[in-house]
Amino acid sequence: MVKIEHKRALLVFRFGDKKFEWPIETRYWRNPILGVAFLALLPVIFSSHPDILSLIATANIYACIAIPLAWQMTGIGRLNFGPQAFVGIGGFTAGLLSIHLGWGPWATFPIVIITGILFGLILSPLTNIAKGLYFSLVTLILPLIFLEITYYFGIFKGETGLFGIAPMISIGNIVAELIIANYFSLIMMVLFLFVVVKVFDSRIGLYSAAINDDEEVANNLGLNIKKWKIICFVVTSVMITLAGWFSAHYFGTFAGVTYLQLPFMLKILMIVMIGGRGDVYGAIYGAYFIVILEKVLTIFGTANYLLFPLILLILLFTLREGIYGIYRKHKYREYYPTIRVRKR
Amino acid sequence: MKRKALQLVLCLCMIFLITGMIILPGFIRESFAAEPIKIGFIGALSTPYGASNKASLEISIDEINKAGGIMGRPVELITEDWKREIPLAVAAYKKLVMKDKCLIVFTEGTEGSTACAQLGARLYSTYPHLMFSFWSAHESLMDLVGNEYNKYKFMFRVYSNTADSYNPAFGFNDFFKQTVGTKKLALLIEDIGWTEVYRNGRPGVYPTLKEYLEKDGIQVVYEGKTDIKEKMFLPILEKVAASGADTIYWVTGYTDTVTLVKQWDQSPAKDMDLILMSGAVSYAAFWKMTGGRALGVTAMWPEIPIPFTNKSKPFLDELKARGSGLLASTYGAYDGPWILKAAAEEVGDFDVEKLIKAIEKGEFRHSSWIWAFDKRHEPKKGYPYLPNIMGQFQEDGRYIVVLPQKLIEVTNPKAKYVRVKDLRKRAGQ
Repeated sequence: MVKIEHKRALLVFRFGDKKFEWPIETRYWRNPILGVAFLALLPVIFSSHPDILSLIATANIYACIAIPLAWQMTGIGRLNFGPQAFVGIGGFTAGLLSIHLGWGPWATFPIVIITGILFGLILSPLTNIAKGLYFSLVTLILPLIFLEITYYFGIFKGETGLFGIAPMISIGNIVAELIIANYFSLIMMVLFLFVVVKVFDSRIGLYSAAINDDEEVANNLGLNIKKWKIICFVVTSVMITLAGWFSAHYFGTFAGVTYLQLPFMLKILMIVMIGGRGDVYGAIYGAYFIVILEKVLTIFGTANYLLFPLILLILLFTLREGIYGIYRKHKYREYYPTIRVRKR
Repeated sequence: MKRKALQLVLCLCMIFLITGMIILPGFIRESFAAEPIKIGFIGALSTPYGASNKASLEISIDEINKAGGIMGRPVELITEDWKREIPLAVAAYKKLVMKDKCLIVFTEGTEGSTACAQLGARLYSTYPHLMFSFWSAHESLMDLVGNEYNKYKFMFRVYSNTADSYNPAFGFNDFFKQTVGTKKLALLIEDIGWTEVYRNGRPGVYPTLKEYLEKDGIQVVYEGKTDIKEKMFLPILEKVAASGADTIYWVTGYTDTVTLVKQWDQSPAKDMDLILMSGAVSYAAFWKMTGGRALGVTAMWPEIPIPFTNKSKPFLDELKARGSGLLASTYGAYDGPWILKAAAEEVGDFDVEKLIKAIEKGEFRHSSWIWAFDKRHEPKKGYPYLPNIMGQFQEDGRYIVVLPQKLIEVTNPKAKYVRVKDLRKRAGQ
């Protein structure tokens, strides 16, 4: 009989007199590598299930939004309620370029990055001007304004959305195309994960933590908080913009009604909260959890419309630090970036 | 001895072989014949449209199976919920076409149908299939077929579209001029994507709705745009009343028509005829929703059981028994599988290319009007093809057909459109 014990950062397996220990901290890179290897196997395992392949890609796209958002929430010390505005910027930029100029995904890619930087810079002063709840309110409104714009200006094609966007890959074999596109989504997510983990481990991560803990103290200690907040906001915004770019080319269509509405924002915030607030790895668990839960619940028919938010609400109350927090409870050494909404 | 045994074995083998040759093809044919034809449906099942479409498809497929299926093969419906989310719609479409090998997929919503069409075009060469779209009114949707026929030929719309207002066969202008007797019209259009063609026109193709009405001799004395989130309609109605119009034509879809009608009933414009396009006003229950204040209100696609053919009543009774509403997309959902059956039986094959040609050339009728498709795979318009059905609420919430004439004759031959002020007099208001 195998006994499994959870000891702080270790999983201990006992089989008779024998004992095997497995460190489960993510800083031991073998664990993330194993996790990524597992995710890399999924497209192969589900190669004959195109719907599941599509859901895996969707989970990866959601994670691509949630991972940079986790960094942004720490790095600017504010809760962004409108990350989907940048998903929209990326998606519409890619879509419009593809439709009107016939550009493929690799041609639209640099322009999407430039557009992301531009809009990130334009909106970045908000990180210094709007504090606490005001920032959350402003960011909440931004995608809704953008949604109205997509209705009012014919170029965005309203609720129909843009269509005829060049596919992510075109090699003449649809099954292979879907699997390759799936790997693209995984590669993008892993790259985002790698970048953000490295940032958190670096001096910039320390700056982010300092800003998140107390901006004034960080400022008094000599940190140029305005500069670092702008850098954080712009970089993470560009990353989220790329999630929009991927969505547009992956689905071949992009509609504001899908990505700019409140339910989509709630889903992303749920991913962040369920995965673990301010946590990078948690964003991946959260994304896969939400996508799987949403799909599984459809077997209950129309009841799923009630069950889905109900389960999420219960989880929000019971798992205050998200799924990843179950493990974190046993691990006190690392800095844990809590998200605070300050009054000032 | 050995030789005799060998001869016996050979004889037995020959008997088995001959028996097998006789029985096996029949057995294979029978097994193959029993393989069901799969029909997929991607619906937003929590919405009245999704629920009605699902129920209509189920009834249709049950009836087809009772009638022996399609060329002896049973029909199976596979339903997927897209929750009005593109990623779910795309995942569902992939499953239905690639895994379940559906011959035809019914899709809902303009954005859902657009996304599925994009994917369908990529899948078609490897997985030939058909796609029928309903509850998708954006006029530009079928430009896909019109502009790139070979890529999107698998797609048909079994629903009306916004540009139908410009189609003389729909008889909109005649309805205002002859049925209502409009002299001066107040035109209000909800300000959202699907009404863009009405507000701005489409250069070289369609004028604005105001221009179109005026060109046909209807004087538009007031024109306005309204927000779909609007709840306070009284100021607008006061301006309309001051404009001297005798009829209000309000292009609604998402607008809160319940609040609108309640406020119209208390406004200075209450004696002006009120024609709404769609929304909750199309439901028979709208009368109760407004507490009976909808007297005289007219709307498109009214929830009225119309006996188009002898198949209509059994279907509508069954739909009611299942607790589902009769909506604009219901007809396409119910008749869709019958169109497939007729096309397949005509060509005697399930080859998708042949089916497309058969649907393009054929005329199909089951429970409603004649379905025939033009080059853009839009249904032909004007009764006996897809009609513009208008209904008016009269005394005690009676919802009667007031357009087209042929359907008035079969549904409520003694009733006709009555101007609102006359209805109010009749009702003693």
